Amino acid sequence: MGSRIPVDLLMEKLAESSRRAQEIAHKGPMVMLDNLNTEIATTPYDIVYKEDRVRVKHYKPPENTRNGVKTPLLIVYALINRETMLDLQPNRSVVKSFLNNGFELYIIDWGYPTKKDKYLSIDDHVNGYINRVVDFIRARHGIEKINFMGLCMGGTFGLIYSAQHPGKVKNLITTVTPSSFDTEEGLLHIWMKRLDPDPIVEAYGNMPADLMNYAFLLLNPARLMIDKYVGLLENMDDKDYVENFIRMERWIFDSPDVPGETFRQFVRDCYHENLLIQNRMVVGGKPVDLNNIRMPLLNIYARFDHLVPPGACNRLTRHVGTADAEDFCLETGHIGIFVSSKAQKEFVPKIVSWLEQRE
Amino acid sequence: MSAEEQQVSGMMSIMEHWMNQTTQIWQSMFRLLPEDIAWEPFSPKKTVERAESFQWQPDRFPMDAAVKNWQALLGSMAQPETQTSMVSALVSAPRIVTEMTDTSWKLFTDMQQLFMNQLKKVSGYMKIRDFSNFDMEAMEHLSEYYEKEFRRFITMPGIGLKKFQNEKINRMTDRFNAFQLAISEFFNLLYQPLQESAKRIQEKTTEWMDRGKMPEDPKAIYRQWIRILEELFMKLFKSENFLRSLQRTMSASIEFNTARREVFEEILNYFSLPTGRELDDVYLELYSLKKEVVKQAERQAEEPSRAERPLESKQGSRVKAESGAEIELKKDGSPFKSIESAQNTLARRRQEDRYEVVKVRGGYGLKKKSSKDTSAAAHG
Repeated sequence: MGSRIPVDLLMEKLAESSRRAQEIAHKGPMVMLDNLNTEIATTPYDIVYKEDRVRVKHYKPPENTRNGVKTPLLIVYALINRETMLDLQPNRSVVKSFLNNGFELYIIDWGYPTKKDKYLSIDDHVNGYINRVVDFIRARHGIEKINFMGLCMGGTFGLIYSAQHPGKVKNLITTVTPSSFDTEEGLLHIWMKRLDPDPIVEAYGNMPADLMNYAFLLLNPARLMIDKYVGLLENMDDKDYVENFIRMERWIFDSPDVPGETFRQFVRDCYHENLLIQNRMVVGGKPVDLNNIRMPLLNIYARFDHLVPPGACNRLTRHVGTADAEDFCLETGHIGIFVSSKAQKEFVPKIVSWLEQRE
Repeated sequence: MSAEEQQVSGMMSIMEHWMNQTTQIWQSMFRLLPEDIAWEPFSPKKTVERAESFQWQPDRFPMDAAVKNWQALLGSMAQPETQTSMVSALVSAPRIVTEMTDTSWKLFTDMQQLFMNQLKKVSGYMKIRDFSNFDMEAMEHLSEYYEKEFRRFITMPGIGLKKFQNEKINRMTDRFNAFQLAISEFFNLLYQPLQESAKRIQEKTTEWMDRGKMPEDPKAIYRQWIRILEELFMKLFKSENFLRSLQRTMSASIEFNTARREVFEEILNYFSLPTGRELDDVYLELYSLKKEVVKQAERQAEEPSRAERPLESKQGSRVKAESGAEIELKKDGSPFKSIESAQNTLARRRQEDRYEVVKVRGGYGLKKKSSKDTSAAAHG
């Protein structure tokens, strides 16, 4: 009869769960119908540069803040999803953390590409938009070089840019940046290798965001399509939880299309041919030689990243032309690196101290 | 003379008589026609006079040719051979009608048979007997049936004036069906881990029950199920089967999109609206033009202004710009290195109001202001 005890406990727990469910069913709708604060990217900024759909946000540090790094920092986000993730919620904001450390911060907002942007290539983004933004910041501050931080695909752009314009970058930081694409660690890499981008670009012009979102959800449907929403149901009576959940949903599904030519070249040159790490990639008619990256490099990646697994990031520091190259691995995932409370305590402080040492 | 021949002879005389009568009626009708086509008020008296004085004049009326044709036709029909053939036709009409009905009916039954055969083929392709067997294999059989049998009807070549439009609509229908098949197969694959995980968690629960190690927290069972599901999905997503289905679904979706766009383009053309393809050309042109403009602007920014660029011919410390303006350099003929040094020179000479600093190749020079500028400056 000893085996009955756990069953009794289980039944007791079930009864408790049922009471809790009843409570949530009462309070949950009240929370959902309440005035929820689900705004994202609320830190004030100025738009200091505009070109086509591209804008540059300038964040000024509060007065009297510790200012260990005077060189302005330009953050280049990926073309997938939006840079608002860096300022998702007030208590977990990468932007705020940098500002509190006295940084002059510039972030490129790539906007929403339309059909007319379908011909924009990697060259147009790197040697066009990014280069003009860098020149603008250099002229604005009267300096020769700036600090450059690239995120995910933006980091890959950062590598290309720094290799082709080494004289304009003082320090380079790559964050969850794919640089070596021949890994079989992540599903995304397996799928992308089989994907023929040509018919997609021919049919849709740009890579549709909805299609990418389906693919991202498919990477882990058990967690992203079931468990996540079970979590919401269990915490529906917690206003803070609901607000943060909706903020994340807003960010995840606020996805611009990716310009067709850029998508085609990225899939072909990177996922299919893995040209970047072999110094065989050509952008704007010029080769991208990682040996030209002679400025200090900090390469940050996440151990549990299912989109850009460690195997796609951790070869970079051995292929650049600088001895001052450091890998920094965080015990989190692709998004967690920017939003998890644990990573918040490590991510920005690491960058701040690293840059201060090289100021 | 046989009975049939007698019947034919009798009918021939009736026919001959009828044709003679008809010809006479038409002839008298044409005699009543006016001599010219000019309109005049109707007068019964005049009409009677005309009818009495009417002389048949060949080629007088345009209707003459028609009358002649009519006469020739009737004449030909009056021939005994023609009449025999016509009467034979009348006699054999019921037989012909029966044959035609028979043929149409046969065509209909053949079509029905063909349709039944097609339906039979479905069961041939789908080797399922009930829904418990409705698995991936069935989906594949259905796709195969569609590709090999049904699709032929939709992709039959069109004919006639609207051939291409019809073909485009058919192609869209075909691609829509193919996409539906591919996505059904894909979703069916995605359903497999759910089914399998439910089965496994049931087995696990029974095992726990048997061992008396049932977890105290029901959430532990849920967490276990999510873990199993996650594992099964990962296994599925790396399988060749899934990758093939993913590729097929993507291709089918893209092909349907393309076919649909072609049909919409027809509609847009009908309303004289620009199509996506036409806009693409404009976008490409805009893109190329913008690139060229940016390139030119960058090139121009690197070089000194053409207007202020000195000519090769230099006379002492003065040079002439292409615009014709005379620009003063340093005494040794070289340009000032910075704006400040040029301005300092002007300040020393107290000539700030008469000269301005301009960019020249390799530095800066001093250009005399025009009298208009000077007077404007004087008036503050």
